[in-house]
Amino acid sequence: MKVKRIRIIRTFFSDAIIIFIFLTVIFLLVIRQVRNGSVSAWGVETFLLLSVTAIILAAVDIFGRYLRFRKRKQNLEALNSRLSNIIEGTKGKHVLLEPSDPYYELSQSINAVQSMKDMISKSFVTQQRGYFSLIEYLTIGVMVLDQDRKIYLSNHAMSDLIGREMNLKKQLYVNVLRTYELSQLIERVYQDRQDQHAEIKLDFSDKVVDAHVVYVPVSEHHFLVMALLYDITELKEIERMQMDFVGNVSHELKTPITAITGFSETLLQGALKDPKALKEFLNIIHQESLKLTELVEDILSLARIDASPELKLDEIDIRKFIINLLRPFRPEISKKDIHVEIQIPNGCTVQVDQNKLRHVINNLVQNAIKYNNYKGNVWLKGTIKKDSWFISVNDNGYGIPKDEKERIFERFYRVDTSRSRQNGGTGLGLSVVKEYVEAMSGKITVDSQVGVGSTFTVIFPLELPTAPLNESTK
Amino acid sequence: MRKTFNNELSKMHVRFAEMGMMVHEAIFRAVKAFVDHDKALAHNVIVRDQAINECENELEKMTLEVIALYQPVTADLRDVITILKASSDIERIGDHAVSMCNATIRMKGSQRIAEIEVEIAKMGDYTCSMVEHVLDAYVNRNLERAYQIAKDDRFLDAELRKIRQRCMTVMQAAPASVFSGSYYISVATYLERIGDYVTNVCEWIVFLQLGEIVELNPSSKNNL
Repeated sequence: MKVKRIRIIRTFFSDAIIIFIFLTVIFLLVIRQVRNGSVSAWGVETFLLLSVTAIILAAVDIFGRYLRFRKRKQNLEALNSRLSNIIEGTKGKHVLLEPSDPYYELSQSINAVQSMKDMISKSFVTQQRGYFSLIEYLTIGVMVLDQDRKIYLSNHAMSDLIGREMNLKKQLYVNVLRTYELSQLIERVYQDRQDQHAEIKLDFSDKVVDAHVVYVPVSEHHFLVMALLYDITELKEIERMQMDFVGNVSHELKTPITAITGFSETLLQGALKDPKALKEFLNIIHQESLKLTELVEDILSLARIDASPELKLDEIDIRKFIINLLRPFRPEISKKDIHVEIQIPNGCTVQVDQNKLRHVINNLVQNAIKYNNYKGNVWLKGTIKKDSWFISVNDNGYGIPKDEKERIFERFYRVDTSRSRQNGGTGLGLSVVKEYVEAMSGKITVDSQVGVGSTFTVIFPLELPTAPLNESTK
Repeated sequence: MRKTFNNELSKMHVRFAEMGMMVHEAIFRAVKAFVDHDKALAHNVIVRDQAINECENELEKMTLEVIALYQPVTADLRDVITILKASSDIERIGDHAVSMCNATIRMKGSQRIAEIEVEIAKMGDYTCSMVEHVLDAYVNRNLERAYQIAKDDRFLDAELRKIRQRCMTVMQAAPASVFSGSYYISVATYLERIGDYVTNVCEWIVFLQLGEIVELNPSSKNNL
């Protein structure tokens, strides 16, 4: 609230002079009227009187003007600070002026601008929050790059898919990314300024993604590049499982059927009369039909688990149970000269569905023997822990490649088709095992390396949940 | 002038990072192929090595051009020289990954030695993570990390000695395992060599930051 002194003085003097001239003119006019042209009244005294009056009047005027000016200045400053608040984005109070004030309308407009800006910024923040959390929680991997190839933003799913922390803002994307195919795709977008699309297998997270890299022009000289990764691992898996299932089922069904058809045809065409051939062929037909029965039974047992997950609980001693169970395997074990070691302490009794557990362990032991080398080893371990018990079957046989560890529980899946076909089996064993273990609220884990061997472990809780198991199996 | 030089430099940097990615993938896949006895994957790595070699040639050409055209000095020169030298080291890592894959393909069907497969799998994973870390350390110019990684290389040396010793013992006992045993030793040697190249890259990181040419782990090269 500072007014330049020189301005006040100047205004004061000009005021005083104007008033003085004005007064003098009036005075002269009055004198002429009264005295008729005599100028004798004009003297020093009159002059002094006139100037003093002029000065006082000017002072009064200046004072009044100053007050008005100050008021206006205050209002203007309030309005100005209001506007600068709006620019800075800090929150302030509304400016209230009397309706008679000359700035009243201006203040109203500023207040309206303020309210509008508040509203816009509020909805902007809401939108931005929503937008960022949408990106963050999206299951699609999103990474936005600016035109200097730096990461502008990247979401959680992206880090998961790539298998590394990707949300390093302001970093060159090539410094963070470790997948060449994706980086090449992005680089191509930078060069061609055209959207790119490819299916990429990510090694480090073992995922297959559908990658879209999009060129987003912002203005004439600015653009963004957006990489969108859509996880299609499961889709691919399902696609492949379906194909495999159809292929496997038809293959498994076809082999015995071809044999049966072929041999019965030969018999019908006259081989019936040769008793030796008749017996041999009938035997083959019988064997093949048994294989078919086995296959159908396996499929049925899969269907049955889905239908009836009831458990018949008995108390058993694990060690005795295993020893009993191993008895039928003796011929196979001695044929391959396999050394079996049971490392289960005496007196471990648990409550379990005997039939289901027998099926599970039978299958695992059979695999351990079947996929083992001559003179191999099989270790059976098991014990009771704090709130669970487990049995593990460990062999030093062929082993399972890392990628296929999860797949072996798929129906009809065979690790190495060329070798396992010779060994027989339907490819359903482990999937049935898994279903059974889950029906008993247990878990099955596998640890394996090719050429080293595999360990299958089944873990069951000591206390089975009392609630019906329908939910847990489904 | 400065701007075009920076452009060239960042172009080189992108190319180098891409090469790093390819090599990292190559070694990751080579180890995986070896552990899983996966011939197809091994073949894939061998085919892709061509791209790595081309990338190295391209980088070489780019660095020489930059030196000739812009005559960089001090830190810029170090940047360019480091890319030139480190890229050839990284390319050699790719070559070793290929050798490993060749061994994987040739070994298929021979008698395996379980305990050594486990050791080599461990060594392979370790080497792979070392390659990853050194690339990270390079892009972040992390000096301490570089020293640390160079130190980690000693683990690979120890592991190689252990594997060689065990292979010898097994081969002496069972002549049937000589074929695979000799391959195991060479694969372990490849992995150890990769470790040495990683150490070289670490040396270049030191050069980049301090401008000194140093030798990290000088003793590790004697026992080969």
